[in-house]
Amino acid sequence: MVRIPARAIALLALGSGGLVATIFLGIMWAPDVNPSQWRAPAAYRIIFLHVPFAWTSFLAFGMLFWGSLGWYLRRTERSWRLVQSGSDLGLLFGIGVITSGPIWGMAEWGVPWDWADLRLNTFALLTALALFIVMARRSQPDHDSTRDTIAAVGLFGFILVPITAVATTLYQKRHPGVVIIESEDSGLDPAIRAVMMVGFVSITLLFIGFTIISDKLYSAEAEIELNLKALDEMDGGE
Amino acid sequence: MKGPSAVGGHVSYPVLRIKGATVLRGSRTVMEDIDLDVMCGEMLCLTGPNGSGKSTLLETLAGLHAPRSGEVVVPLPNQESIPIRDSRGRRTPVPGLSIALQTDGACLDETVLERLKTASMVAGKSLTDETISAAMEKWALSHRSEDRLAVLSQGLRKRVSILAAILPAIQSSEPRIVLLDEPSEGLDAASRDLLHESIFSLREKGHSVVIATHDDAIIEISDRTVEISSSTISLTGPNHSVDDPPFRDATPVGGAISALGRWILALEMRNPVDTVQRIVPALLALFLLRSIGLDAISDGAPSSLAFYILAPALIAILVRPALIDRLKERRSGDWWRAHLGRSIRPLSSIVGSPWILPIPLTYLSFIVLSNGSSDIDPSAYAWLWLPALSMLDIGAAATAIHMLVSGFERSTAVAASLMMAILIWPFLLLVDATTEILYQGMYFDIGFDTPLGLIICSSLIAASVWGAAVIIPDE
Amino acid sequence: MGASELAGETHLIVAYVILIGSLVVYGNWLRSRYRNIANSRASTLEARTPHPRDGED
Repeated sequence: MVRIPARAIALLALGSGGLVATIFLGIMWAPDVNPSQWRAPAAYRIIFLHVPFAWTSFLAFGMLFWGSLGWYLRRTERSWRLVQSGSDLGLLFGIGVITSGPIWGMAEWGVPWDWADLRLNTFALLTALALFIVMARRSQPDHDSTRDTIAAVGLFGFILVPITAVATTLYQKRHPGVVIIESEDSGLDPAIRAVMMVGFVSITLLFIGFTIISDKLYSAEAEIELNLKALDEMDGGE
Repeated sequence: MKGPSAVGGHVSYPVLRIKGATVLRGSRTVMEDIDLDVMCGEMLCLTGPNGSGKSTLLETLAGLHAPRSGEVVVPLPNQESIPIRDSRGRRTPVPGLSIALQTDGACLDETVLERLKTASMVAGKSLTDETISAAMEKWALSHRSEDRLAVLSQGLRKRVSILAAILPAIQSSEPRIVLLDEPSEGLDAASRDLLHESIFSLREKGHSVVIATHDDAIIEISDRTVEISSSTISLTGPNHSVDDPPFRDATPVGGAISALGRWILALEMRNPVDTVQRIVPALLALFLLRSIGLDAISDGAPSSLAFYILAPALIAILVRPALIDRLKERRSGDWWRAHLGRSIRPLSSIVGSPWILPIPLTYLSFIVLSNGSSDIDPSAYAWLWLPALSMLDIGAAATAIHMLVSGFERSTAVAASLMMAILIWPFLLLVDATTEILYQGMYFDIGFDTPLGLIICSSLIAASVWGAAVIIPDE
Repeated sequence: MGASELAGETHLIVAYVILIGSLVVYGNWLRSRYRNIANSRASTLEARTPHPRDGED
């Protein structure tokens, strides 16, 4: 029987509450931007969730990379659980980033995508990788050989990150950034920064809670699978 | 359990060794902590009930399965060895190997003659037509020499598969290792007699023969028998003294590489599935572009025309190669892997790329779409082949990605295109290069803004992706 | 200016719905997996130890 730790539930509750607060503060409290300088001033508030989602997808992709490397080198169950949770959460948060970013881009600059933007394209690449791994895990029988191939594809995907960095840098030389979706750093109003911090903390708490629960569930599912195999043998299977 | 042994009273040496190997198939442990030596000149039979692991053991000897632990090696003097396959990912083809898998191990579009010639080339033997004809005559295959394996009965295909394995050894003066998986299965009585005779003759010539079989007649004439059950083995046969193995080189793969190239080309020329699969969507895209009106294209940014000119070629090179299905058919890919080891992916991703399509497609698109636009530099026509040629690098990278992804058991259930997105940038750089050529003409300065510089950058990025896709072993 | 304000708000709403909605969907998926595990016949330790059937050794 799987037991979800109380701390995970607490983290989810805190994170969800924080998220609600972020949205409320973002819409009601955060200041307006100068309408003469922004084409769609209301849309800027997307960043209060977009940027924290980018941060957590970065954490999730890191988990996926670490798990892929761990399985590739040592084949431990713990590494495989990192691959499982990392790909699920990478997909979840990655989709959030690569949808909310272009939505804001369309509103503000009339252009949904910028092939020269390093971060946006890297997130898209890693989200595609996460989607591939999630689909492969669901469609393939769970054997060591499948896990080996998934780990190899995972590592391939991560090798593509520096290649993407070079590629976007080269492309940017001829196509200087039309859209600067990701540069939210310069000269931010303190109130905007404060709301973004609330968003960061909330999403991070949610992420940790999801990770703990996901790990427990995958561990329990693996145990159930072992039990099912034992039942197969009792019934004269194999 | 290791049994040092010799053959027929003579001292012998081990040619192939399994050390402490545990092998899984799927989630099942088929062999656990197995030790086994194959001695030079011996005939070793692998026996056991169906599903006991005879084929797995045979294929492990050929380096086809990565052991969970332990290794397969070719022993050398002074305690050294050539690692054939181990749990750390090292992989080398077995020197002097010939193998007949339980399935045909061949694509069914091959002809009988082609199959035998390919097997000989892979073994490093270029046999004359007369030699091959004589062998086909003996095995009652001459009347089918030009027929594709697809039209033959299972029994005939079995004969071809066995002959392909034993022919290089029969013609060879150096000791070879011949692995046969259930060779008697599906053969008629006359063929079975011929098989027994051939196996015996191989042993007499000093070759090592390992056979997974239920055939009592073969088991009776074997030197040693390995009984497999419950993940372990037990050996029966005489124990004699063992000599030091002689020095051997790792197998040169030059013959196998050129055989693979010819194989890929011959199959495609006989049944151009790959070419058709690529051309059809490319031409559809081209004619759809033409039908939306040339004004829409020419009124756009200058790079639009370049993009549309290169787009059909891009579509063609991203299509999943037919080579992957050919390698999966009847486990022909496993047969090639046994002879080429890890180099199969880099080689086949290059040779299996669509070499002939990008340049003609690009010129066709140019003719159809450029509509004699007055802005285009008159010399552009002469240089479009350059960016089109660079599309081959993108094609090789795409093929390598397809092959990496096809390593899954259910490879039809995964979406390879998710991993292709990286190829957008080399393509966009080629679009920029083509734009420069179309509107400024070709010039040979090298810089980030010049056609040559952009093409080189595109090729380097595509080559990096190709390298990443072929370098990571997936098992 | 009014039109782009509205356009900005629509984009904002769509983005937030997608972001929050995806979190909700994922949370629900975790919950349904938890339920499946809890209800699974094979989730008890007893299943690992086979009981001998009548007539078998």
